[in-house]
Amino acid sequence: MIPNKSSRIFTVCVVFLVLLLITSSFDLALTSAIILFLINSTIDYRYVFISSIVLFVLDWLLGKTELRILFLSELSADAYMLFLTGVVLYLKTRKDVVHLLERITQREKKILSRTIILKLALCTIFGILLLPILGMYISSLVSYATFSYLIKQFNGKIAVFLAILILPVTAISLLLNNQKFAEELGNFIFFFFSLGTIQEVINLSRSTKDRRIVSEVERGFRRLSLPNTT
Amino acid sequence: MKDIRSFLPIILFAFLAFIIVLPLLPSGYIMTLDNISTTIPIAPTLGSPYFLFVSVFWILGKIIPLFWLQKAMLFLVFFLAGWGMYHLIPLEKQIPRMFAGFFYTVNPFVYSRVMAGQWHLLLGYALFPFFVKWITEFIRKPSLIKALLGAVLVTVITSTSIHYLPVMSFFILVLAISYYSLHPQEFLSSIRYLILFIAVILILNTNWIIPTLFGSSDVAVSLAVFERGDLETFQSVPDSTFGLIFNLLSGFGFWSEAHNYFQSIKNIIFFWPIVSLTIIFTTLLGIYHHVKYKQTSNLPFFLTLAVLFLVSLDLSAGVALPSFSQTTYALYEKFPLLRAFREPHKLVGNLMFVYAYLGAYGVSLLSGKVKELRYAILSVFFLALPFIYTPLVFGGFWGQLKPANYPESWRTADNLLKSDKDSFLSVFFPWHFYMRFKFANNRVIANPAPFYFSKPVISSQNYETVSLYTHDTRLEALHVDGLVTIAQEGVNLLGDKVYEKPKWAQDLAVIEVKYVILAKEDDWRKYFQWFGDSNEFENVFEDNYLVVYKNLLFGKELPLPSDIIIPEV
Repeated sequence: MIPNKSSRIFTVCVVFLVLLLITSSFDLALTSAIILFLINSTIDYRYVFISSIVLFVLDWLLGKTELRILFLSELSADAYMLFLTGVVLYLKTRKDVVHLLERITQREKKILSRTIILKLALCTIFGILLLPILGMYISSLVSYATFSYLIKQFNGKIAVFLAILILPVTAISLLLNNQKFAEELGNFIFFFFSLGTIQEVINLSRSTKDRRIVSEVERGFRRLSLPNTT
Repeated sequence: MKDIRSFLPIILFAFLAFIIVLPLLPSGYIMTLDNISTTIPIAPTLGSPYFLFVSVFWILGKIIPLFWLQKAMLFLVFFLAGWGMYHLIPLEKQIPRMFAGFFYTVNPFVYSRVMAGQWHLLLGYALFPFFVKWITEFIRKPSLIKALLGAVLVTVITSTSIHYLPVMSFFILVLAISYYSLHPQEFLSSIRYLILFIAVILILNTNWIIPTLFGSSDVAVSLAVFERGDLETFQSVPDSTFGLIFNLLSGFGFWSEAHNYFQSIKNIIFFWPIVSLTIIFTTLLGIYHHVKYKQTSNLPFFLTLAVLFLVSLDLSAGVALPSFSQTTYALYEKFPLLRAFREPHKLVGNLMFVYAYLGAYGVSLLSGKVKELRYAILSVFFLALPFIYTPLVFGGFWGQLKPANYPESWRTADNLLKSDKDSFLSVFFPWHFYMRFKFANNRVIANPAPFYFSKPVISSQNYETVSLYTHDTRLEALHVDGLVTIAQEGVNLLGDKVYEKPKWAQDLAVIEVKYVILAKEDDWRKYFQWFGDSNEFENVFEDNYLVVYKNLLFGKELPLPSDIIIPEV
């Protein structure tokens, strides 16, 4: 379903207001809303890169002159966000990338289907709500277990994928001088990597056991001179 | 025959409510902590969210004695809670539905709130299942009539307890998100009814929403004066053995438990953790029932319950949970609506709701596994469980609540004030907001003086706790508060040393105080020293309950205090 222009503007306005309420940062809310609009538009990526550079320069100038502009809090974050948007818009213009994306999305079994995203969102909310009660690690473990149960998979790759997903956020946190948050995220990365490794070890031992059973069955067939149908 | 059967639950829950209220029926007021009633009904204020409810009370109060209305309200709390919850459970079996009704009516949360006199909140709690029933039907099959009925229902619940407005809004939001995520095709056809529903609510509540937006209503003032101290003072309390979370999960943890304002259930039911675990286990079985039988039609509702449960548990733990305290402060700062829950234990009511609802499914699952004698034993066990858990609701709340009447001396004092045709203020001492009154069966109650007397009376509204002293902004009250602090501690409200004692008659005459009413309660003897020996006060009435002094300097031209320097022109 392609959203029409008015519904896009409506969504952008809602996002702006919600972010303004949550973050109390006018520039961050505005930049996020603009990015949301740009992502679905056909605007030339060069303008976005230029805007990003302008913001970087403005941020640098404000830092040098120690000037304060009302409603503007962290221009460098806005500049980074616009830069990333520019990268996305550029990739959208590359036919080979688009082709690759199409091939991935047209696969029979989608990696991230709508249902899986919904389940992931649900489990994330579940984990956040459990956080004050159970603490960081147990709540993560419970929500991860719930997610695995919901998607009916015991796959260590998911935990590793989550760890990799958190990596760039850690990098951004470090860039924004939020050392403490980056450290906490680092702990999470370690936690998910460990979890994934444990799961993979379990899966490995399971598959070894399965292979042993299969070979024993095959041996049984041979001993009884029965045709092997496994 | 079927018609008679459909009335049986109503009779059953009405009977239960009657049994609970029966010992409180003799003539007299039930006074407990925040629940104080006087002979004069409080006039409704247009800008208040309680306008509708107070208006009904006010009109009925003109015909029926207020103590009857008080008891009728308590009866409605128990009856509506039980019947509403029974009505909500979509099961055919009677035992699980009755368990849900009984548990929602009788549990530690309800007990503590009755004892704390928060009956308005309980009325909202009792009406909440009706709201849930309505919203689940509305979201599946929206219609014009349902939208209008829902708006009226939300307005009624808000007018009994505004605390349920954020709870209902949150419930609608989560249910709508989860329902329309699973059924996106229905969103466009439902949106107009949702908008209509919200619009009608806004129209019906204009009287207080608009003044609140402009910052002039009681709600706006309450939200504005909120400070960190509120959260610290009214935070939930942990159990000394089992900690905070289990205490909250068991329906306990109300701050007033720690102050021993009423008898704790834990002192009577020493095995309460076992009962609590049984209820939690039954609820877990209810969750298992939902997961196992994959009730997809009920999935959005189930998800909403889960989110409501966890959010309520998180917020009710709030600042009492060290790891969550900073987040709680930040949340209360960012979302002013949360300030309605300066005392977050109110949200434990939602945990009781989830226990009752999912517990019914748990009971249903268990009862489906057994037959005949075992079924009978299991049924009796589950039906008795709420009463085993909270037996203190019976026998006039274990003998703690008794109807009481204001002493004759209060009426005499009121008549004395009424007979004086001057325009004046009176001050009520001892200067405490909450204190023990002998006539209220020696219970700690909020000071009823400002509501009892026909002429304006100022009394303390100070919480007097370490982290929160007061929210009082009335100038006259601050003046008296300053005088009391100087007289008692030798410091003024700013903490500066003051060596001169207050000249009570003169200092009270400045704010047009003609009478001082001193109730012989609490630390009254201190106050007696200030006025009893003074020749500037005339003792106009005294008995065992109170003394009334007349300020002889009232209306006289007063000399200016010596420390005021008038600048030369």
